[in-house]
Amino acid sequence: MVPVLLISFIPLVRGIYIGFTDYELGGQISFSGLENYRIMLQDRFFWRSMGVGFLWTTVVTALQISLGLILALLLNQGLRWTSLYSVLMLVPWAMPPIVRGLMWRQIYSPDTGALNLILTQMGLIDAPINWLTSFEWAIPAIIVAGVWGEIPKAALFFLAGLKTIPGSLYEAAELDGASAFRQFRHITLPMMKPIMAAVVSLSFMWNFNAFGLIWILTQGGPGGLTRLPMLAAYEEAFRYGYVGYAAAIGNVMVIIISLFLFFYLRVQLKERTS
Amino acid sequence: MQRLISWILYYKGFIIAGLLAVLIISVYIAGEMAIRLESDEIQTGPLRFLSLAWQEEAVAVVQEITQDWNQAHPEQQVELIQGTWNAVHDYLITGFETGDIPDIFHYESAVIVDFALRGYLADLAPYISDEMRDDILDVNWASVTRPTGAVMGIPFLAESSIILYNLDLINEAGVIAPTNEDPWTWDDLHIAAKKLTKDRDGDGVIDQWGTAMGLRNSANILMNQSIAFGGSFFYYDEQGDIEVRVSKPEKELIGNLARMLFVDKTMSPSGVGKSGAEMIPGFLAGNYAMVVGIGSWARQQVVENAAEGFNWAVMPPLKAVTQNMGVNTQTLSIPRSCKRTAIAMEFIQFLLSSENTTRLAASDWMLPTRQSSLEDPRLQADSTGWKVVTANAQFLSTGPWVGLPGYIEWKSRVANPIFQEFFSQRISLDEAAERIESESNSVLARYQVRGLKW
Repeated sequence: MVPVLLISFIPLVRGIYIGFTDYELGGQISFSGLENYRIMLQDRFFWRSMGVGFLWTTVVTALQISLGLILALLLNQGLRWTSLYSVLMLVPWAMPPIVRGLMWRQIYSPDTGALNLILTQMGLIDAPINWLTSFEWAIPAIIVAGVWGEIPKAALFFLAGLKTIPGSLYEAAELDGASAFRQFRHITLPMMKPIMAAVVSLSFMWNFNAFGLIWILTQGGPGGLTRLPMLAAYEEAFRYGYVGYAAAIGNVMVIIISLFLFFYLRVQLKERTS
Repeated sequence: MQRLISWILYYKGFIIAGLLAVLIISVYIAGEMAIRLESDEIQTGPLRFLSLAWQEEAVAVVQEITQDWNQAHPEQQVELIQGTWNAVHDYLITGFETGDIPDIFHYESAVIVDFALRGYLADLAPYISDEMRDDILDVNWASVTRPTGAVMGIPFLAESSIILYNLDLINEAGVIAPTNEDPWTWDDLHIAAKKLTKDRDGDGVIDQWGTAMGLRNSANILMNQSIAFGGSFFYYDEQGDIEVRVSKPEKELIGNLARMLFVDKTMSPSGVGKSGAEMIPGFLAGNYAMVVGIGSWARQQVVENAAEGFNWAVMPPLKAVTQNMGVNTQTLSIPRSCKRTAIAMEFIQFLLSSENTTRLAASDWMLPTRQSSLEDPRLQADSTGWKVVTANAQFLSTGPWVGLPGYIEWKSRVANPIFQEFFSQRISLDEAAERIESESNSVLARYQVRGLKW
């Protein structure tokens, strides 16, 4: 309890408080009420970062869930070497976001990156593309890197969920002549619903808070196109010195994340009660 | 006894809460005491010096000079901390706010202006020797001196923009390179770039570009180059209020680059998403005949990485109305919270003596700020471009943005993103100009409201 208070609760409360002050680097802290939030309403840089944040979070979460589920279904088929695949699958997730970022930056490099090399040799592009600084490609590029690292986590959760579905249900369905798709739709999906809700909520929270990977890949560029909310808060505090305003952005993020946490807890509670 | 136990059980909630409170307060007090003890040690232990030298040779020179100091001053040692340009900003900001900050730190004039406005820096003016004051060029002092005369850092290296060129390709195309006495105009550059842009293997794709320029974060270079066209982006009105304008001179500069990129197609489009440093491999591979607007430090990368027999040289700045360019200096500063400013400044004077400044400039391949170093024969070699680089000192000039509150935010939030959009052909020059003007004023207004003054 005491470590939780010291490490989590006190900084959280202080952070929330700073979001209601006009604290700037080098200056004094004084309470400013809702002034930061009034500024936020008119700050197009903030709204733009929220827009990018929701786009990134939605697409990455959706792809993680779908691809994670496909991967889990494949691993649940009782193939040979399943244990080995399961361990290998965890490698991307085990890598810290910074390392993942460095790896993808190298892959995307216009001069020495593997992606340009492969595409050029296949004749799909004439000249190397600067994926991370191109206005057309920067968002897809970070999404691919984000999804790649997080699929294993979703797959692992889903695999655990699939293992809990009684085989007798599938056997009965087969006897009734249900196709594989119908079995998936009427047995797998409903049985996986609680775990899916949990994975969606948690992934949304993690992705909405993404920082390290994007910072290494694009630093929010080009032209602020990939400036996620966490990057925006970081820049406000460390680049421009508006600590109070940065904390206010953090507070708004906490509220958004709390909504998903509430959704997650509700599903968990429902599952336990049933 | 039983009464005591039942009393404890009755009030257990309050007792636990009380114990927790005592524990938390104890941890807090212990932490404060530890910080105080550490802070006492900081005030009596070695001076901490954060260096950002990164080229191998430069790191070695800084280490040698620090060792020399430590040998000569056993009573006041200096501990060298090796920092990196990527992480220094966060490191210093955190340090300023927590009080755990090195006594001397290396950074650049454009950023220490912001630190000075926040009250983080000590005024070094009273500690500067006459010899140092007279030897460092006025234009370099101007980058760190407030109108009150307070000096926020000692400038020791100046960033100077150069044009690197491939001597063999230029000779092969029959182009005569400019000299300090007979510099090129932008039109000369256009003509040469056309001659040097070639499809060498005849596959219909250009594989040798006349010019290349790292345009990813181009605000700095465009600001500095605009001075040669008589522009500056920032203009003061009669009341002393600042206004951002993209007028004819600024548009002329940007238009020249756009012409090479989009009309003549003599500038490699790959530079749009790259930094200056990222253009060097292409230059060494013969993909670019000239690299425009790169820092003089890039010569070191060329010397270190070029294949044997790769012939290259440096051109003097292009002439528009003038050859002038804005200056940004590398500096050494002392935080206001430092309790040993005088001795820290003694170390800076030692580190930045004329001889040491020459060594630092030579090892970092940058322009020294001292006149005596500029004249040093070690910085006059023709083969590595030093002669042209040191001659650039005469063209250095102070832009009106020096000391402008909010300049750093303006550059990263407004200028760089809009220039990125322009060079990616998402907006026209007129749109870019209009957006820079309208968005700048809202960013700068935040600082004007706060009444910050350089």
